[in-house]
Amino acid sequence: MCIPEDTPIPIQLTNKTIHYKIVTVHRRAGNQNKCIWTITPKEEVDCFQFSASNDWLDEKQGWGLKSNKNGSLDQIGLSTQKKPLKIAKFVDTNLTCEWHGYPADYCKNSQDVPSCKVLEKWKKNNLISKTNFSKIRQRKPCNL
Amino acid sequence: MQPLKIIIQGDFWDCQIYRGRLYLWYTDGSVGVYNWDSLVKETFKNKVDQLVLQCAFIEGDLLYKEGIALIFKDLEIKNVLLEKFKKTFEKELLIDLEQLKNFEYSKQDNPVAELPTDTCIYNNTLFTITDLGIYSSSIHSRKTKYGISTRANRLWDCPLISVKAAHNSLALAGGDQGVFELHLDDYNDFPNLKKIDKKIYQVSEAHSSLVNWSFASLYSSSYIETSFLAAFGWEQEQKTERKEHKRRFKKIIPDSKILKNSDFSWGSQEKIYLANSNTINVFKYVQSNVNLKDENQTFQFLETIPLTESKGEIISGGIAYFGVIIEFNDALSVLSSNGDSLFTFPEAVARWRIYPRSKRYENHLHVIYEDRLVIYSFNHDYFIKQESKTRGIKYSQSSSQLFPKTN
Repeated sequence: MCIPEDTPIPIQLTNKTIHYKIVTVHRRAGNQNKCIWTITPKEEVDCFQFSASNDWLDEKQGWGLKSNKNGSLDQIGLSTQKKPLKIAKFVDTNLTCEWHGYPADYCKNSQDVPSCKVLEKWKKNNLISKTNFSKIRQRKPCNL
Repeated sequence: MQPLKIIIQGDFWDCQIYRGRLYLWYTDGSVGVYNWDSLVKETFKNKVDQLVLQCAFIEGDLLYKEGIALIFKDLEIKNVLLEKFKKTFEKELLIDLEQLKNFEYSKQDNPVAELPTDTCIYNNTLFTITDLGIYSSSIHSRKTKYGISTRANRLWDCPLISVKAAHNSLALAGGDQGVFELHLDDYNDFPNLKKIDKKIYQVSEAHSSLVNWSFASLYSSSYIETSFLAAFGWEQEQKTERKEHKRRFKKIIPDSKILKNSDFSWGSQEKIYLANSNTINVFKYVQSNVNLKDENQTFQFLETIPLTESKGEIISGGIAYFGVIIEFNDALSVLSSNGDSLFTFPEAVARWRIYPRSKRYENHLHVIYEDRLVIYSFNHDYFIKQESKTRGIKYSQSSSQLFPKTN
């Protein structure tokens, strides 16, 4: 399936429909100030849908992970310093139910640190350990 | 000489020790305050030599005291004490939650809404950092039944990462927001720093993951960008009839000026450690030379320490009297101050703490794992020459003037 870039895609949740947009700027390696996705556009949309269905989205922002069959987390992107990233950040800045996302570099950017509420949910669901929960809060690199 | 350890089983998030009380944050959002001296003395009274318990866990400065060095010149006495430490090392000192509860001063909800990113205790006040900012809460107050005041006062709403207190000020690392100082009194004035609020100054806009005091200066370490020394000095100013010493910002010195090409560096007091993949270079920072143009006189090379076993990327570091703490992704190591040991604890840690500013717990290393808190006590530093040591902060009886003690 070919997913068009910069075009809102409807995402059906149990009680409402929201939209998600693949943003070109996070898919091209040319911009040195942007983290880029290394997963396919379809996997990016799946990652967002997984996040929305697990209630990891707040009003304006949310975070996502891509877990695999072994129960560990897959890399989803690269930082501006070409380091592997495993956490996605999703935003709906204008509250229009039109979301987009990018790989989050929580060590570097304050706004990329997942909220305590979301991290607690990840720990409760055994997606991350307490050790990594703590390291993310301290913005230290960790082996997710 | 191996470190001694007490293991406290439980699901902890953070810890502090201050004036005879152990503060434990649980991951369920509660905070317990425990009578540490009684907990240690009573729990192990028939198991461990009382003198060892007192020196190792309750009164860490006891063996540093003037006069003790004279006693240690008698090798017979020294060897008796060392033997007692050795015997204690062979024993398992374990505390479970039931035993801990017997020494509970109070247990309460965390006074701030979230699990803390960092905490610091200074002058009977607990400072807590969360995503919503930095808060202060009084502790050790006679007026409240809880160990920590239930009313937390928000000092600033900036999301920060780490806090360290000294000189009646808080040094704050704010990630991509930079480095800040929050002053706890009204007598501050820094004409060459950007004033953010009445008591808050921005020291640098550069990325900062953790910050430590190096006498009057600050050492900012970053996992992302260049680490640096924010150099401050003391200036004499004539105020009407009397002279006053004012702390003044001088300049930012990036770690690349101390040593080209280091992956991560950290500093505290007179020591700076700059790490590469397989070596750590040690420099002495001379605060009194900070005004000199020649930076070679401000930073004096001491030694290169090879890291023989590769444990991966260094993700954090600390400096205590007993040695240098190096955090890797999946291990924590201590280069001991006597120069002949590298202790490695091969397990990823949730958090670790040292207390070099305290009077009684400067020999402690607290490490929080998934299911327990381990309180290590290092006891080799009393027996070495402080003047020549390169691994760890130099202990001196007069250091309290330059490095104000907190508890």
